[in-house]
Amino acid sequence: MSSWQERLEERTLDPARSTPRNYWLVVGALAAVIAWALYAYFVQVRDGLVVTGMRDRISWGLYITMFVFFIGISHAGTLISAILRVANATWRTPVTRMAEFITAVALMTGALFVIVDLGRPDRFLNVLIHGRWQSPIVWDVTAVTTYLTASLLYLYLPMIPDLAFFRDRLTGSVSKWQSGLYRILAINWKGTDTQKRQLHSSISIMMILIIPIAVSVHTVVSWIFAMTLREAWNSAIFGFFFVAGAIFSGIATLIIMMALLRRVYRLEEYITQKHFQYLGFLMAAMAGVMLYANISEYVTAGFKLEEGAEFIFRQLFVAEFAPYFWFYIVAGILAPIVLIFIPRMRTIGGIVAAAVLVDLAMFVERYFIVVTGLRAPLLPYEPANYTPTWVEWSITAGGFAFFALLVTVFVRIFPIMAVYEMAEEREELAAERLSLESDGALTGEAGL
Amino acid sequence: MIRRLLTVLIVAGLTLSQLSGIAAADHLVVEVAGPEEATVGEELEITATVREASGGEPVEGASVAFFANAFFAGVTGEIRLGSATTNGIGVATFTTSFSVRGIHRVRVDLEDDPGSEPGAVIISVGIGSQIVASEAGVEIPGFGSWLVTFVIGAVWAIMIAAAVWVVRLSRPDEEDETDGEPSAEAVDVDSDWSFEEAVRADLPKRQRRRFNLAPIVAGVMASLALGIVALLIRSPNTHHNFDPEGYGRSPVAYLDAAYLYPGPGLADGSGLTGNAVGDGQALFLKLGCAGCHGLDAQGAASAPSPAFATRSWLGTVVRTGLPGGMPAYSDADLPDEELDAVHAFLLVARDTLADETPEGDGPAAPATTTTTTPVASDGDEQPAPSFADVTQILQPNCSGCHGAAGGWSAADYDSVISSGDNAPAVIPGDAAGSVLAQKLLGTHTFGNAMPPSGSLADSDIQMIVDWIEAGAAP
Repeated sequence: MSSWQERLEERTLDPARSTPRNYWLVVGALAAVIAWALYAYFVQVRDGLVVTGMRDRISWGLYITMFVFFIGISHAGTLISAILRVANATWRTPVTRMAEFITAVALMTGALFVIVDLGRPDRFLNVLIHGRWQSPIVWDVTAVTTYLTASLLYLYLPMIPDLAFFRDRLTGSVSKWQSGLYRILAINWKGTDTQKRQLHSSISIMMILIIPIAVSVHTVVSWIFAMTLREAWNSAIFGFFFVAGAIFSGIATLIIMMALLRRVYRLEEYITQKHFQYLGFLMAAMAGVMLYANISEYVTAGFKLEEGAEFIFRQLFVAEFAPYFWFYIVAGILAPIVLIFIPRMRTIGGIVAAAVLVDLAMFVERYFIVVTGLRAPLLPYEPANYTPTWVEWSITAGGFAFFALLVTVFVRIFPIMAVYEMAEEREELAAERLSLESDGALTGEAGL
Repeated sequence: MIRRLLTVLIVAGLTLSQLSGIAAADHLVVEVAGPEEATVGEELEITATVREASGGEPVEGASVAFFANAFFAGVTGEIRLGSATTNGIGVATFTTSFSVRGIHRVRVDLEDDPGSEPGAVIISVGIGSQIVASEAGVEIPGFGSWLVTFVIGAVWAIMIAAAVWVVRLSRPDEEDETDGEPSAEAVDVDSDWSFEEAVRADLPKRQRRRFNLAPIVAGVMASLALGIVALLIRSPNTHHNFDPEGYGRSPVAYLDAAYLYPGPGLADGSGLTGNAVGDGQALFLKLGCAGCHGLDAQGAASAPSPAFATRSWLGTVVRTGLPGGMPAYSDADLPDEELDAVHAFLLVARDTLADETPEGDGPAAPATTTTTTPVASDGDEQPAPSFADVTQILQPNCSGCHGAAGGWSAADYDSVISSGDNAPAVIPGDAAGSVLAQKLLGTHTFGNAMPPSGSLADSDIQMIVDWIEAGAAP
């Protein structure tokens, strides 16, 4: 028993105490990519958006794809952490922290790309100065701000006891700024019962509140498209479609992140095949939902094939965008289902492979939704084409590097697993066993 | 006999002086007064005083019309605001308001009396409060911005409540003192290891009361919440519809034409056929020419018809562009062979337009009229054409270049007469000596004949010549 706690403590404290091998190498490589992206962004600000592949007719490209994709994977935290917490699924505890990290970091990355997409970034202020609540852009800004604030708070709340634990255990053995950081962030946590009750209240509020906020965010992101007069985006299920896709890619990203961190920080004892399997099943279920949403979306429009829809369908199913679309359907939705439901394939490797496919496919899906919608001409033009330039690819790579760098730095400094919750859960289990043994009703059980 | 004549004259004179307004037609002066500055939507009172030129006697019962300059879709002109009749002291009062900011010139003229001296007042209209709320959409009672604001405010209030719990837990000492309740709920579990003990064990006492992050977090959240709610509450109902500078829309429109793009087909996405005319049409659409010049190159309010351009003129304009908005296309955008194809299409379009145009109208006139009608003419039967007739010829044929490009401008009466390097362009009563007529007739002594795309219809030129000969009345 005691060895279990010691091991847990050691495992969690380890990253903060000792620098893992190749840590600086990874940070350096990521920083180099970001520096290159900053140079590309400098070129873009200096010369204008003409250095990108975006023009008057196709005015959204990789940047908006990145925005939608990252807002999408930010749903990892909500689903794993909030929904499973509300559902009281106890297996979630070792992975909640990672999911919440992904949420906060992905949101920051995604929101950044809205600014990157602006040729005149200073004009973002116009949203605040001249914003009208009738504008989907204002809904977007409101929803993303609310979600970012909520998810940061939701990341922070369950981390307070862990930060106190870090504060108490690491002071002296880590640098001064680091222990100072823990002290400030741990806000006087001493683990008294009053504090526990208050923290519990706070977490209970946030775990419920964050679910509608998360749903609203991706709904509003989809409305940026669906509220535009474009045949391809003229869909009533877009909100649902985007939320489902967001949760889908969020789970996939979490699986990949789990596998990486598990290997780097040797968390095999806590993140087991069971976690990959459960998340894999969730991902397969979401793949089914996505498949259904696609059928629902395309069969209703395709059956009627109203004027204008034919063009969309052609470019998506048989012409220019067919490779993207069928990759998304076959590799991104059908293949993961197969991988997860064949028992022999249901290894950690197989599930991670499925998750990588899902993330790739969801990125591609975001891309073709953005581009095909704008490609269909509204005026009697020939359809324009869009090819991202080196600037866009560089900044996109920089976005991924920014995401990875934040995760790398976060897990190095902050508790990688929810130690407090894991310990408490184990205590609860022990208490339950005890109460069953003594055959007495357990009173005053803290639900947390 | 002489006595009789005198009597008749006296009687006639008396009668005329009774019918003052009409009788003194040639000697009336209109003085206009109004505010110099106003805001959009503000009710303005404009007064026009009609007096006799000699003596300054006020004239009662005279009908005066009020006009304001206007601009729409590339066409400038005047719109008639309304009319009023003078009272006993010769003053006619008219109330109006302006919905567009800018400098407005209100001209007041006597109706049925072209010989009088019109008056005008310049009013500078600035931004005021919002005057136009969109009527589009379905208004559902009880639904509005307040609902959105309430929902978002509620979400943030709940979030701040969660943060307040954190603030409270960051002050454990005070809580413990004031609470007083025994924490009886604590579950005593027979466990070897207790998390909080591990935490408590090493807590240095001196770290208890120091910088506290929690109130700052709550404060930042509260200000964010206030900011978002403020953004929603203060958002205007519609765009700044009275502020066209900020929200200007391009006047490009497809006039009188609907075009369905058939799609590029699967095999060949380029849409080019190898047939010069077909390719030319495809290029005309692809390059965006149709956006301003009309799908059939018929011209529109925003740009004239290019169908009558010669190949060399087309080349010049396409390569260099024009200040009125015509973009320049480089050789890379549009190689000469493709320009040949466009010209081939334009030749076909010219024949089509010539076939479709009813007799007597200029072939290059736009297929539809513009929305802002300049001062209405009195009728077709009028022997001498009015400026209104003339401007309807000048606007579609000349304004594409003249106006924006500097030099002579076809924008309004004054500029037609007297603007440009060779002013005056019109010498009233002398068509042969007027540069405008010379350029149209081909009797010019310098420069090129106008329009460069080919001469106007004879009937149009005749009308302009007639107008000049008749005195070039406004």
